[in-house]
Amino acid sequence: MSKNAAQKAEKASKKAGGFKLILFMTLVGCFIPFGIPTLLVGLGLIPTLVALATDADEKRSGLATIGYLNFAGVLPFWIDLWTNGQSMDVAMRIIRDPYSWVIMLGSAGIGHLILFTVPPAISIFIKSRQEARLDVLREGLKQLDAIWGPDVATMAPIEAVRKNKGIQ
Amino acid sequence: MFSIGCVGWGDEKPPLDPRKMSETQQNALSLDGRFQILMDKPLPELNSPGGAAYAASMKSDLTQDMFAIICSREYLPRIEFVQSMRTVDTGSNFRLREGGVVPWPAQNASYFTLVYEKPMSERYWTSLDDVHSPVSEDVLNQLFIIPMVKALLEFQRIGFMHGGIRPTNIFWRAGGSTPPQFGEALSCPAGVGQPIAFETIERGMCQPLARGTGTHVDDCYAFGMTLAMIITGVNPFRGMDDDTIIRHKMEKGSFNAATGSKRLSSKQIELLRGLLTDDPHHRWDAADMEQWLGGRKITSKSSDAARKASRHIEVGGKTYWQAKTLAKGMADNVAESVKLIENGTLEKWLTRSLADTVKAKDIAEIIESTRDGGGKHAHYQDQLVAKVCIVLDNASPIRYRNLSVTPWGISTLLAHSLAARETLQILSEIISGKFVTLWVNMQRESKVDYVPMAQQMERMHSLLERGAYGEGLERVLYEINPYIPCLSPMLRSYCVLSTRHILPVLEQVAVTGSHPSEPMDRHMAAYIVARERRSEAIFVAMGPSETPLRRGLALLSLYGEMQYRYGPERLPRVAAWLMPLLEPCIARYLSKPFQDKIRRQAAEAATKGALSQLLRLIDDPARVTGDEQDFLEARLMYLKIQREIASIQQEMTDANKMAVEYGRPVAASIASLLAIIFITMTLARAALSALG
Repeated sequence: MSKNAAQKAEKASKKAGGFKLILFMTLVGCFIPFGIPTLLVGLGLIPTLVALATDADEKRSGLATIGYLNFAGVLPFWIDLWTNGQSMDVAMRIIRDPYSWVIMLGSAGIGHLILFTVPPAISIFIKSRQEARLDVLREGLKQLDAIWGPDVATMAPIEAVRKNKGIQ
Repeated sequence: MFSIGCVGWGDEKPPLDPRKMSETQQNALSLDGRFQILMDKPLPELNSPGGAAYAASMKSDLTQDMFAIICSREYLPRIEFVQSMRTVDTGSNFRLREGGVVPWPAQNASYFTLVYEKPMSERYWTSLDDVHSPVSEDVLNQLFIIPMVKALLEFQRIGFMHGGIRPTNIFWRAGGSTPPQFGEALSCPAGVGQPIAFETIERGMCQPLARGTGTHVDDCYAFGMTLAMIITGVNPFRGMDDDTIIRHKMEKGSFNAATGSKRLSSKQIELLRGLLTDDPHHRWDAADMEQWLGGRKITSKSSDAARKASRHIEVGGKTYWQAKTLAKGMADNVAESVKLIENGTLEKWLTRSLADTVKAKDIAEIIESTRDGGGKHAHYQDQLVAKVCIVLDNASPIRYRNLSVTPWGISTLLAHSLAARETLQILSEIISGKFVTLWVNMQRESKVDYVPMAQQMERMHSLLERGAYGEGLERVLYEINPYIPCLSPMLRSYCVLSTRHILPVLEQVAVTGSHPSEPMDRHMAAYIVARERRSEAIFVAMGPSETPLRRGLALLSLYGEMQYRYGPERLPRVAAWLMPLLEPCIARYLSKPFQDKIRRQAAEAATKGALSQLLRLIDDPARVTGDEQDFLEARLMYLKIQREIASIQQEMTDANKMAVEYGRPVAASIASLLAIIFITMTLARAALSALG
């Protein structure tokens, strides 16, 4: 590996480490003002934490896909908790309710589903567009060939082209 | 009006419907719209060596009895004399009324035709072999010689050599009141059809076509021989072959050979001796005869041509005492003659026996120059002997490789040889060997008169050495024969006498469908160069070694210019003939659709028969440059497209990467959108709950 590549990898690992640090600080920040009940409800973000740990994509698009929807699934329960006094009872009621888990984990599941279906669909779409473009370009070559003959594909001097045709 | 070349083309009226024409009209040919030639009324008694005779008449005056000679293709008519002979009306020659080209639609050809007034008498002698009763001296002098001399004087005045004076070509009834008339002489070269008895010794040594135009005194010689036969009533050479006649004349002299032991009056002897003198410088001409008729005595001079040597010289088993006869003997025995020349025997004989040191010196110089710097070239022996013969007998023709030709005869013989593809090599060698220059240099006293001819032949020598279109033997032919028609195989049957008629005739030729692939050949190129004094450059581009592109463009340029200068405005068949030759010019454009466009436009121009327009379409420099520019741009575009294709193909090889690169961000975007909707709904719900 060249020196530049090594530097890039080092930078990338530093960047990923910084993001994790920010997330950690956010969670800790949440814990301090909101307390343990909020942290308990925050268990619903486990899929996001898993994605955070497993997503190797440089752009973190997998993490974003799962994370956004997972957060959207957890947010109603956080609001429920906060509007009802932020007590352990409410937190436990939410945690004990399977419906809560279905919503929180299900939203992350939708994210997974999107991540599973959309990229191949986009790939197929792009490929078909590229094939269409190739057809157009190939047709263009054919037309140039039909207009100017096979010599249009060469870089021979014009006099040599005429000579090849038997015209001088 | 002299009508050469102005008949049948350009302003020709549309032909009549044959079904509406009477039988006579159908069989009549028209000359200049003024004379009609009745092809169903042949007149064999007036036939000439140059063509058959037919009855003819003036359209405006049918009472005038005329006849026409339709000149055959075998010989070339003497067109150069037609203009001047139309003015000659002595009463003792056939009165020429018109000469010109007559189209013969039935044969899809044209013929040069001469229209004469009919002779007043029949042919005087019908055969040279018959014995005739002699004519009395008074009748002969008053009724024959006086009118004939009048005609000969007129011939001399206009510089015309009849070339066919003999008893069988004179129309007269002895003792009749009508004057004798010289017969037809323009339908073939001088000397053709003339028996050797009536030719001088020098002209007699040549084949008929090689005799050339000749001079007025040659006519006087023929007239003298004719007189001798009429006086004696018999042909003295009857039953003799040509060689025997010449030998007879050389040995005895023409006068003695013609008169033999016949008894003649002193006046007649004086006349015949003057006319039959073998030295042309001392031969009587028409003016001398006029003086003789006036009673003045003219002394016949003798020349040293027949001077005898003190000792003989032997060649080919025969002994010779005179330089003239020796020259003939040497020409017939080349190998032996070369030995005599090279071992010095001939020079010694000339110096010691003939006392002619001038000739001996000339021969020494010729031996030196013919050796060409020491190396003996091809035909060295023939050339050496031919040159030595010219020195020995300066009046004789050039005798080279069994061909005898006078310097004037080269032109007529070349025309025949080119048509028949015979003796061309020998004629080329005669021209390139500069025999004519030597011959002229040997004409001591009269050398000045012949210098222009020698200079012309020197120029022809340089033309011969170049083999391009518009040069070579064909060019020589048209340079030394300023009046002959174009002998191109394509045009020959149409008797084209002017370059302005080439295109109209080619239009006719194109109809036949059996024409060559190109409307141009060496003859046409040489004819156009010689007649129009054009530069040869454009014709060089028409040569077989040139590229089809250059040949096609050169042809179209030439014919386009000729059409512009001479017309006619429409030449659709010539244009169609040229079209395949122009294909390389069209194919030079690199764009195929542009080629098709030019093809369509060219086809339209060809249909209109406009050659100049066709040239402008095909050979437009701006179009050629534009096409090349477009081609270069197309190349760049082709390269760009190829690169884009390669790039796309490279991307398509890794579908997973494509999904990650493009699909996952899209998935994230969709998820974020959905999350925003959910969050907004959640927050809105919470806000509504808080409010109440």
